[in-house]
Amino acid sequence: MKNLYIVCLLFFSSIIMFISACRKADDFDESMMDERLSGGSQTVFSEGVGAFSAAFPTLSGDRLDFHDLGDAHFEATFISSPSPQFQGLGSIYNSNSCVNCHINDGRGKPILGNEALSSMLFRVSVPGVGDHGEPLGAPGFGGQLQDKAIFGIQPEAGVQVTWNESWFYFDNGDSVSLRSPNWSFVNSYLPLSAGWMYSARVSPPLHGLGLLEEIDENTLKSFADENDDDGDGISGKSNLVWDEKSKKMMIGRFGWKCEAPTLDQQVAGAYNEDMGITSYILKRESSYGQIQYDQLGDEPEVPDSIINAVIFYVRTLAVPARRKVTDAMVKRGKALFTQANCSGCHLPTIRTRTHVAFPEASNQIIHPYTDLLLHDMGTRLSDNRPTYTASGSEWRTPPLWGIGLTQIVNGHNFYLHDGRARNLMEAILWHDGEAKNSIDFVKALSTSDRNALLAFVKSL
Amino acid sequence: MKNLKVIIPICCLVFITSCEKDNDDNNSTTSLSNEQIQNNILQDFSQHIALATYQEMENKMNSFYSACLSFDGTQNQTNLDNARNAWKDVRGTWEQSEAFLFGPVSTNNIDPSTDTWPVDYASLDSLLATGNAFTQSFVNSLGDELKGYHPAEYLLWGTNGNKAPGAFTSREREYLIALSADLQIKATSLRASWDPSVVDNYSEQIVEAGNVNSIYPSQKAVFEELVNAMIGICDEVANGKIYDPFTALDPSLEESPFSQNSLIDFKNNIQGVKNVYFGKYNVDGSGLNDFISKNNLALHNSISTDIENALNSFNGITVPFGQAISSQPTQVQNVINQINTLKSTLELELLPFIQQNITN
Repeated sequence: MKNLYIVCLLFFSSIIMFISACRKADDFDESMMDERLSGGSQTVFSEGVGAFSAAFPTLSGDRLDFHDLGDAHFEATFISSPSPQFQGLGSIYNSNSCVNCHINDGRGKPILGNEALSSMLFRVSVPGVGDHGEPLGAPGFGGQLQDKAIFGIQPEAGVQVTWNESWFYFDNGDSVSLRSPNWSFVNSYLPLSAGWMYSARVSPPLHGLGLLEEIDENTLKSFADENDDDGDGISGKSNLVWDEKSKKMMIGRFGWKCEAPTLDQQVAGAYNEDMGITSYILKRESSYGQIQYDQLGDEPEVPDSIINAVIFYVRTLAVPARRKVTDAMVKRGKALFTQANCSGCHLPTIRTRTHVAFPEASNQIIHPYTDLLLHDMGTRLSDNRPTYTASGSEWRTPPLWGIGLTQIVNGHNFYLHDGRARNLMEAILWHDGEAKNSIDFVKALSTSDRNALLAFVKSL
Repeated sequence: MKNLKVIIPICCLVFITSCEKDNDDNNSTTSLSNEQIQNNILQDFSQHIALATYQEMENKMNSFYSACLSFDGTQNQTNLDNARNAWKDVRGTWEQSEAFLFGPVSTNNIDPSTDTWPVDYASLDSLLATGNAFTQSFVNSLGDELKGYHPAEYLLWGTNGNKAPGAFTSREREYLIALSADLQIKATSLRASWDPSVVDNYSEQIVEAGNVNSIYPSQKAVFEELVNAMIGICDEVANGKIYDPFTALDPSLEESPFSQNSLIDFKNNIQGVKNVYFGKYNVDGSGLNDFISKNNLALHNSISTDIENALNSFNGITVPFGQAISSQPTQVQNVINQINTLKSTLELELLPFIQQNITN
C-alpha cells in the first residue's frame, strides 16, 4: 500500500505539473475582462496601416458582402455630372470621396499654411438658431464652408492659417511649446456674413463607431452630471439634436460637438455637405438657394442601396486591440491616468445594449475611453460657436481607443478638433475647464511619470 | 521501488514535453537562425524591394516626362509611341508597387493623387478650353480626378485608343507635360521617403521595428503589414478591378481602358506580390520565402504554386480586358478564381503562420 500511495502521489503531482507547466502568468484583470479587447468581440489584432480598416471579425456571409460593397463605395471618387459613373459631385464640395478625408479610415490633419484643405473642414454659422435649435447657417454659405467646386463654379471661400506659439511649464521646470491657429478666409465669393462664426474640424477616425452607436441612451444619461452633483469638477451633459430620418430630437453622439445622433445622419451629412451628393436621408443640395446650385433636379444622387452599404461599412469597422498591456511602464501610466481622473470623462469600460437585430455589436463590453458627453474644455479651446446645446467651449470626449496607432495609420500625430496638438502630450496640455484638476495633476508629474502616462495612452 | 523508477522518468518526460512547441522544421535549408532571417527580410524588403521599386519608378517617370516634352517638340508617330510606351513602362512599376501600399504612399495620399479613377472627362475638356497656364503646381492644386496616370492616359490614347499625333491640341500637350511633371514630383518624393540617406525615411521604421524609435512595435507587426498588403492587392484585383466590370458587363468600369493596359496592370499587381514574397526585384534578396521554406515547406510550396497559377491564368485571356469580360468569361473567371486561391492561402495560412512564428 505504501508503494501505491507513492505511485498515486506521483501520478497526481505529475498531472499538476503538467497542467501548471503551460499556465501563463495571470496578466489580466481579476474582473475577467481582457483589457486588450477594446472592441469586445469586435476587436482585431492589427497594428499596421490597416488597423482601423478591418471589418467586424464575426461578420460573415451576406453581411460581410454588404460591408465590402460599402468599402468599395467608400473609396469611390465622384465626378461632376453628367458622367457615366459616379456622377453628382458638388457643385461645391470639400472632398470628392469619403476616403480622401478618412485616409485608411483614420484621422485627418490640419493645413499648415495656405495649402488647400485636405482632410479637414469648417462649420460656419451666424448668431441665432434654426427650426430645431441647430446653428443658424450663414446666409449664402449654409452650415459648412465648401472650399472646392466643380469646373466653372466658384467655391465659397478658401482658408489659410498662421500659428502662434506659447509656452507651457511643468512644475519641474520642463516646458512644451503649444501652438494655436489663426484661421483666415480668403477669396470668398460673397462678403462673409455679419456675425460670422466658424469651427475648424479635422476628420475623426471611424473604427468602432457602430459599437458606440449601440450604447443605450439611458447608459449615456447615467454618465451625465450636468450640475456636478458629485463635486468632482466634472459635469458632462448630452447634446440634444435633430434626427432627420426619424424627425425627432435625439441624444447626439457623433461629431466633435455630439451634433449627429446616428451614423445614418453622420454619413448622409458627409455625402451632402462634404461631397455635394444628395441621398434619401438628405435630399437637398448643400448649395440650394446659392448661385452655385446646379438645378439639375437629379436627387437623390447616390442610390439608397449604396449609401446604406456605406453606412453599414462604417457601422461595422472593428477596433484594434491594445498593445503592451502588461508592460510595467504602461501599467504605471494607467494608474496615473486614473489618479489624474482622466478616466472621469475618458471612461475605460462601457457595455453596449442588447440589440437582436445587430448581434455583432450587441451586449459587448468595450473599452472606448469616452463617455460621449459634452464637457467644458475652457476658453483656450473654445470655437465661440454654439451647436445645439453645446457652448463654444464644450466638446465631446473623443474616444481614445486606437489613438496610439495614429502615426502608423495616418503618418502624423496631430490631435484635437483642429489638429493643433502635434503630439499626445500637447493634446493633454490643451485640456482645461472641467479638466483643470487633471491638468494640474499632470503638470506636477515627474518626467518619468509623464512618459509612463504617454506610454499608456499610446497602448490604447 | 521498481515502480518509482519507471514513474519518475515518465513524470519528468511529461513535464518536459508538455511545453514543447510543435516544430515543422524538418527541411532546414539554411544555417541562419529565424531571427537572422527575419532581420535580413526586413532589410532586403526596404532596400531591394520598396526602395528599388520606387527608384525605378522615379527613373521611368523621368523618361515619361522627357518623352512628353519630345512629343510636344515634334508630333510624329514615333514620339507619340515613345510617350505611350514610357507611360506603360512606369505604369508597370507602379502596379508592382501596389503590392505594398503602406507607409508614405498611403499616409501622404500619393496613391489617390496619382491613380484615381474615373477621369472627369467633362471637367477636363472644360479645363482645356480655358486660358489657365498648365504648370505642375496648377495641376497639383486640382482634384484627384483631374491628375495622375489616368488623365494622362486619356490624353495620350483618346477615348478610342487610336488618337493620331496630329490630333493633339497644344493645350492638350501642355496639360500632358504638366501632368507628367506632377507625377514626376510625386515619384521623387516617394523614392525619397524610403531612401536611407534622407532624414525620417520609412526604411528605418521597417529595419528598426521593435526598437523604441520605430512606429512598428515589433518585427511581427511589419510582417503582418507585408502579408496584409499582399492580401489587400489580391482582393482588390480579383474582387474589385476585375470583378466589377465583369459582373456588370460594363467596360466603362475598366481601370485603364484607353491604353488597353488593364490586364498588364492586373498581372503586375500579382507580380508585385511575387516580388515581396521572394524578396526579389532586380536583386534576389531575402524574402518571406526564406523564412517559410525553412519553417513550413508545405506552405511555401503551396504559396509558390498559387502565385504561379495566378500569374499564368492571365495567359488564357487573348483579347483586351474590355472585350474579354463578354467574349472570354470562363478565362476571366479563372483569373478571379486563381487570385482568390492565392488570397486564401495568404490570408488563412500565411498570416496565422507569421503571427505564430515570427519572434521579436
